[in-house]
Amino acid sequence: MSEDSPEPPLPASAPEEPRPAGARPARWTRRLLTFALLAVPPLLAGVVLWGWFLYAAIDRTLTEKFAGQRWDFPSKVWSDAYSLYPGLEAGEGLIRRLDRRGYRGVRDEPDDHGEYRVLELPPAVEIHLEPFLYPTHRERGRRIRLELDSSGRMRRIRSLDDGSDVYDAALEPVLLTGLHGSLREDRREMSLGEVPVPLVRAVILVEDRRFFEHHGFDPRGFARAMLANLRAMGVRQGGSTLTQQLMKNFFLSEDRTVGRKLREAAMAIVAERRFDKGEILEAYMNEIYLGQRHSVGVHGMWEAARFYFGREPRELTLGQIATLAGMIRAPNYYSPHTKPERALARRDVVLDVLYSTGEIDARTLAAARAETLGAVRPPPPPPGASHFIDFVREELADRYSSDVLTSQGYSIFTTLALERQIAAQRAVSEGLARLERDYAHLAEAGEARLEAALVAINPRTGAIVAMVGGRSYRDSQYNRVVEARRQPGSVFKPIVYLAAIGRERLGDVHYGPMSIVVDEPFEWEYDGKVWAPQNYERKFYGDVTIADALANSLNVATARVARDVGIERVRDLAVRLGVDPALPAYPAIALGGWEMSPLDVARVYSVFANAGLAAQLIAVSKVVDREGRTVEGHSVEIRRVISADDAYLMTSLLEGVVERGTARSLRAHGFHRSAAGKTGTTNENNDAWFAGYTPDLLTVVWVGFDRGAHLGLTGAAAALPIWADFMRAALDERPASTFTVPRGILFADVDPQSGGLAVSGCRHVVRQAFLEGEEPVTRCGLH
Amino acid sequence: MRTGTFIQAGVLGAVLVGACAAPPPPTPPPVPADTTAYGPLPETGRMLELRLAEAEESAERGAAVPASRLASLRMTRSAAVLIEEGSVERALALLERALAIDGSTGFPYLYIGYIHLQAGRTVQARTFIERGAALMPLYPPLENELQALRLAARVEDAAVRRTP
Repeated sequence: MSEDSPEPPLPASAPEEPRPAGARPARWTRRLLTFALLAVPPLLAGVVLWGWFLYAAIDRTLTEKFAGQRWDFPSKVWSDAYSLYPGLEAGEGLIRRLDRRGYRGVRDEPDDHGEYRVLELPPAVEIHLEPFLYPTHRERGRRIRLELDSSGRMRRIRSLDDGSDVYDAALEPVLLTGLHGSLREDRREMSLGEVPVPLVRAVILVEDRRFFEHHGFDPRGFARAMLANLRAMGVRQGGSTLTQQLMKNFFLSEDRTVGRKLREAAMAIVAERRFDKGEILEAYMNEIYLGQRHSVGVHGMWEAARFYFGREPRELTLGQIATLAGMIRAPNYYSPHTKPERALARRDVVLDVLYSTGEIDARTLAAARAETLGAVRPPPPPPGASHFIDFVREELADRYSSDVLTSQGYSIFTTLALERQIAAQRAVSEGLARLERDYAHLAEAGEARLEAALVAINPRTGAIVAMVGGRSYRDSQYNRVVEARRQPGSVFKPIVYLAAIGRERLGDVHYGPMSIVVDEPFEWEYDGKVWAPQNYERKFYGDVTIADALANSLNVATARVARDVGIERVRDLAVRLGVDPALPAYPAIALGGWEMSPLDVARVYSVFANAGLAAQLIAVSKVVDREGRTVEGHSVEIRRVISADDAYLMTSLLEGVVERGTARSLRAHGFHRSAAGKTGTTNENNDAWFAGYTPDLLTVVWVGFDRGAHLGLTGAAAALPIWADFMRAALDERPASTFTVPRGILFADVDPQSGGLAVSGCRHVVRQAFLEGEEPVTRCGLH
Repeated sequence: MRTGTFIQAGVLGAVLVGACAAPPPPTPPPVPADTTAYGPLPETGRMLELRLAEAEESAERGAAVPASRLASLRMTRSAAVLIEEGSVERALALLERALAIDGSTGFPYLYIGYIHLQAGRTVQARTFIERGAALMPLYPPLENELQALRLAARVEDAAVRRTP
């Protein structure tokens, strides 16, 4: 065969002979094995690495959550406490106060916190006070007895425990609101040690019996739950451990998906490696959702125990413990408030579980089953004090960020007197409705709605006890007490008269309460301009005393006095009393031609009411952190502005306004206590004011339209009735008091017409106060 | 020696003699730092007990005693005990409550002033002490105590101002 000859054709392929044993593997198998040897290790390594990263990520997330503050604790805004002392009325008003705080009337002696009973013979009210952590001390929840006299006033307060007299009793502050962030949750954190052992056992037995045996995920429990669900052809059991529930609540959604369950299980496993069972249980007891308080979720056992049973967890009975443990599965479905029968049935199921597992014996089971549900009435919704709360928020915003206020769980104690706030809101609401009913033009003012503002303060301490910024917060959050700048009109006049009659004697004039001033038209030249003040209805009264000029709010007489004193001096005095230093010194200010807010007016009048001392106005008395440490505190602060004698002199003149002047209708409105005040009406009758005070309470009321529409009513017609309604209610339970007379004041009976000492022929005689040494010495020349 | 110089020397000598002859200014009694049966302000406390006893006796007899005044006095007495025990913050809160209820007596003002004085808040101390003193009855031992408080407030204030 030569080299060039073609190769012989290949024979047709013959079928392969079977491979004998021990021969080499086929090519594809070799390839597969090679691939496996080369690829699997890196794949495995990749899976392990990924798993490790995932673990580390979950671990980091959990550590951050558990190491730092685990929850946001909303700050709570509290009203002032209500002091109890002999002399206070203790009838319906007291019962309403107790009801508002969630106290329960009982027939027997009040054994539990938050109970009271009313006795007929001898008349008494027994109260078991709620424990409360005040900024300065803890009220442990004493039992007291208020012994009443025949008129229903407290005669004596004694301890029910040892019979000793009690002088510092008070009804605790009421929660006004919580400052929540985006998560509206209420809770109070507690340590595991504070959770009663039976509660811990009950929760574990009901929710996760193998809690101490598994490592976060319980395959047996899961399988059992799946089987139960398959049999029932629906979701009947979750099969989640406590740890899984905790992970879900902290990090995951409520979706019932496989993916979420897998994530939940993974996180639970990591959590159990990182934290011990105690830490997980403690977090669970504080996190668990247990119902709804209006728009806010109730979380954690401490909050739930207070919400449903009015008790701290350590005070719960076994039945109540079983109720809470049974609620976890569906808090609103088993709510003791709204579904008591279901709650009772579920409680008994839990009790049976406790018995069947040997946690309790038969006798204990029977006793617990015999308990009533023991749920307390859900506390009433916090009363509206929205303008005041906004005011507090704005004050706090200067010092605390929103993040701090909504997460650090501060307790913010305010000066708001709850019942007075309610009285103020009612007085404004009913007062405006009455005005619109009696004066048709007020209800038909187009788009504008009649508005009012009311602010009440304790003049001695500066505490703001009530604030109503408008007729409806829902319609308008505009706080007219603070933000409305309106002309005060005649409410400004006392400053002019004080400048003239006070001991300081601003200027060269020498006036006293009975000095004569001429109420006849005149022109006041000032800065090249001429101003001719006019009286209301253009009536003039000739020679009048200072006291009468103020009592009857005569514009011309007042302007004359202001000119005689010097308008700059009037202005300076006004600034000393607390008016904005931007107040200009032009004649019209004497008649209130400069804008002020109701709070500004209250600040000025508080000096008259408080013996010449200006008390710093306060709304927040203390801010306390969750550990009870004071973060900030505001004590009463006072400064001397005018002498006590001058302040009393002004008070006596303002009493004249009430007794015989423009505010004399006050008595017809049913207010009979010692009171001093001034009406105010602006020139166009667009603003109606009344600023008045008793020795214990000062209140300013403004009525008008926001956009300056015509009101057409005087201060006496529009504002004074609202003032009277509020003050009657606010002071109703308090004993009457009188203004304290300082040493430098004398009294004399005078004829108001002549200003001289009264003689037998004088028909009208007034007992007038004078600065010592300035009392009149001449008799009345008219009679 | 010139006549003018002689006269000046004579005047100076006369002044020196007068200074030696003049009585020394009265030494104010110290503000009591330790406590007694009547609390941190003994005379004030004694007067408080007296006023309280009078008021309670009158009330027992059926006389019209302002209930708020009685309550305020009792709270003030409780506060004085708290001051003695060192619970100053609680005492201050109770005194402010007493003041809120009734301001017709000087007792709450004086104890509040005392607390402010002890805390170095001299301006506030002075204002409260002055107000309280104006409402107290004229009684020499009490006057001495009040004068001591006033002087202590001024001394403290001067010390604070001197401090760089």
